[in-house]
Amino acid sequence: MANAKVASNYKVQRKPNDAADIIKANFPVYQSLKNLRLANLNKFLSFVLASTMLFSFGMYSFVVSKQKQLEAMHDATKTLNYENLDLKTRLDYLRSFDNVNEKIIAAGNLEQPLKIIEVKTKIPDINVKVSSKSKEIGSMLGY
Amino acid sequence: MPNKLYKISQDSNKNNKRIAWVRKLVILIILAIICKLFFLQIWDIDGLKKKASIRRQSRVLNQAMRGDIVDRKGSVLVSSKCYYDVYIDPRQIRDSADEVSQKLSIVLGIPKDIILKKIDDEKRTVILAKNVDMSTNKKLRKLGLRCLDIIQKPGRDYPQGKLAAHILGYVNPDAGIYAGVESTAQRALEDMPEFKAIETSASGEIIYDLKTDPTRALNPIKGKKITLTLDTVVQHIAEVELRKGVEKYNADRGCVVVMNPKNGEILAFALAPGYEPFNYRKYDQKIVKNWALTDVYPPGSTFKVLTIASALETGVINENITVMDTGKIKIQGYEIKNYDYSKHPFPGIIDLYYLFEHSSNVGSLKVGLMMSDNQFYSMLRKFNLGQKTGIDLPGESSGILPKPPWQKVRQATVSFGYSLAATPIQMASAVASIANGGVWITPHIIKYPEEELPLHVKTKQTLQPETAKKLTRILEHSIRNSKADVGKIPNFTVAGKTGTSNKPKANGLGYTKEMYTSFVGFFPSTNPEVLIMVVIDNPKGGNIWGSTVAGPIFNEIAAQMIRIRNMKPDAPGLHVKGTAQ
Repeated sequence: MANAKVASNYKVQRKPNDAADIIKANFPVYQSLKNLRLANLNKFLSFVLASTMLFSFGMYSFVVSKQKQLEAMHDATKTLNYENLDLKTRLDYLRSFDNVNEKIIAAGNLEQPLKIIEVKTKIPDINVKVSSKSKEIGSMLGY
Repeated sequence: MPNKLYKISQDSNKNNKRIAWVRKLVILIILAIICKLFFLQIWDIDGLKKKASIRRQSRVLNQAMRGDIVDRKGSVLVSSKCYYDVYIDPRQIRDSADEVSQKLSIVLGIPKDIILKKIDDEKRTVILAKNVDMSTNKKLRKLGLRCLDIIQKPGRDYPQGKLAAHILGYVNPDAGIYAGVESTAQRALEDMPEFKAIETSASGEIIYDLKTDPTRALNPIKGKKITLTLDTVVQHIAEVELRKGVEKYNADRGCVVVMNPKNGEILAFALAPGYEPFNYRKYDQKIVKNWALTDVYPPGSTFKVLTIASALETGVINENITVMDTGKIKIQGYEIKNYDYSKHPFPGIIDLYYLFEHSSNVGSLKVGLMMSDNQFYSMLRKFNLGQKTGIDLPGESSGILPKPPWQKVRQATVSFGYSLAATPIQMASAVASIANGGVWITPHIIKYPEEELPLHVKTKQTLQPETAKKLTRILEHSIRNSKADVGKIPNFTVAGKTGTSNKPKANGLGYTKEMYTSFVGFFPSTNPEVLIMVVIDNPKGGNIWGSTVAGPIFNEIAAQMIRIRNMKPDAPGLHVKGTAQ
């Protein structure tokens, strides 16, 4: 296929453009088959190079953007870890004797009352009417 | 003309040759470069890759933090967290300085005028605040001020506040100052775990690849965790009771040592007044230092325990010995009296039970004088007096124990705890050896793994187990028969001894009227689990004795320890009010 294309180009190149050119002995310069093949190879290589460059550029952009994402995630995770550490120390403080002691003192939970007043209570008489229908429950297993 | 043409032709040939040489040279250089490139890029690729990787590797990624210090049950006593130092560069202030100061004043809680003054006075970067916490740091960042520079740094956090401050110590890495466990366990606390190194870029950012360990890259790195023998609950009880005692008697200072006599583990080591380790600079050095290790005191009557132990061990006396207590005695011109001479001017013939019960100085010195000075000295050395106990805390003093020959009066006074000086920890560990069947163990505060224990904790036989048992029985009886309440713990037998001694003058010649009161005791005396030593320095008031000042502190701590440790009574009904004993 490639050879056929090269051959057709060769013919086109051989065709004189104008009779005047012939009179003027201005003949077209014929490309050798080797040169034509080299030119085609160059074209192909240029295409490959351009494609690779484009692909590389695309990949580079992709990597850079992902790297930025990774860095952002790295920073966020690191911050979270340090916050976690900070919260852990806060929790340790809240559970500490020092804190509990301070809070109890502040609230005065363990303070003794200044005076203890004894109050005599009178149990009110409560008449509970026992229904005649209610039966006394005798002892039974599991009760 | 032909000559000329010939010359031109010759010159042309010469030039061609030169050009050929230059060409060859250029080709050679190019070949050399190609060879070098081949060598670098293909031949030695692995070696170079490795070299580059090593150069990019970093082991110090995150802030390396000191390890945590926890108590025997895992309660955190000291941990690490990040603090932030806030700097301001006045040249970078875009808005008005007044506005910036106002914003910073609200967040940092520093008066606006002070911030303004700092900004106006300094033309270069100046520190605004040190050790601000994470939430403040967040607020500062939200302000979006470009003039601020916030530096993250690791620091210590003390969740339990002042608890065990003298034991934990403090850290000032900038000045290289460490105290307490922070000093003795420094190497372990700073011993970072082994991690695979991570590659970083020139700007310090991590180069992530499939080999990168995210735990290493993201987590704050901490040193080893140190577990102490301290029990936070017991420490809290000891500190609270000690503080109450010191405040009640307006004493200069006080200390309590609670230890397990069987293994030398210190369960609580309380000193009053205390301090905040995070702000240790605000306190007087006298308060910050662990004086129970650095300072010595005359042990007074608590020392009689060691005198009688030495005499029993050397065989100069036996358990049933009696001595004539004349109430007072003159030795080499110095008159020595019993403390209760006015009450009991002539006790007469006394036994060891009476000696301890009434804390007879005359009885004690008579027993002490039965030994030779060398015998007495070598026994006291066995109890580790006059030498460091080897406790794993810095700054320990050796105490003062003069070498023989001793004058008679010195030997007599040594017998009841004068003419020598010891640290509270020395006395506690010496008496602990009696509780432990005559085996002295290095008191220690760090809980070592089994394999490391022999390196840090030494043991030695001070007394025969029989001697220790006899002495314990005598001490227990003296507490039981004493009129004072000290050492009388319901349902438990306690062996102990009070002590009251005068404070030596600063120049070391003679004694002042100021007192040290102390009590050392262990229980249950049949199988000792806990030893408590209380020393109160210079209590003030009318009735200042070991039994009235230090004793009640011992009783209170012991009672609370029995409850929280759920200890099994060894003498049900003993010392229980309303029960015949």
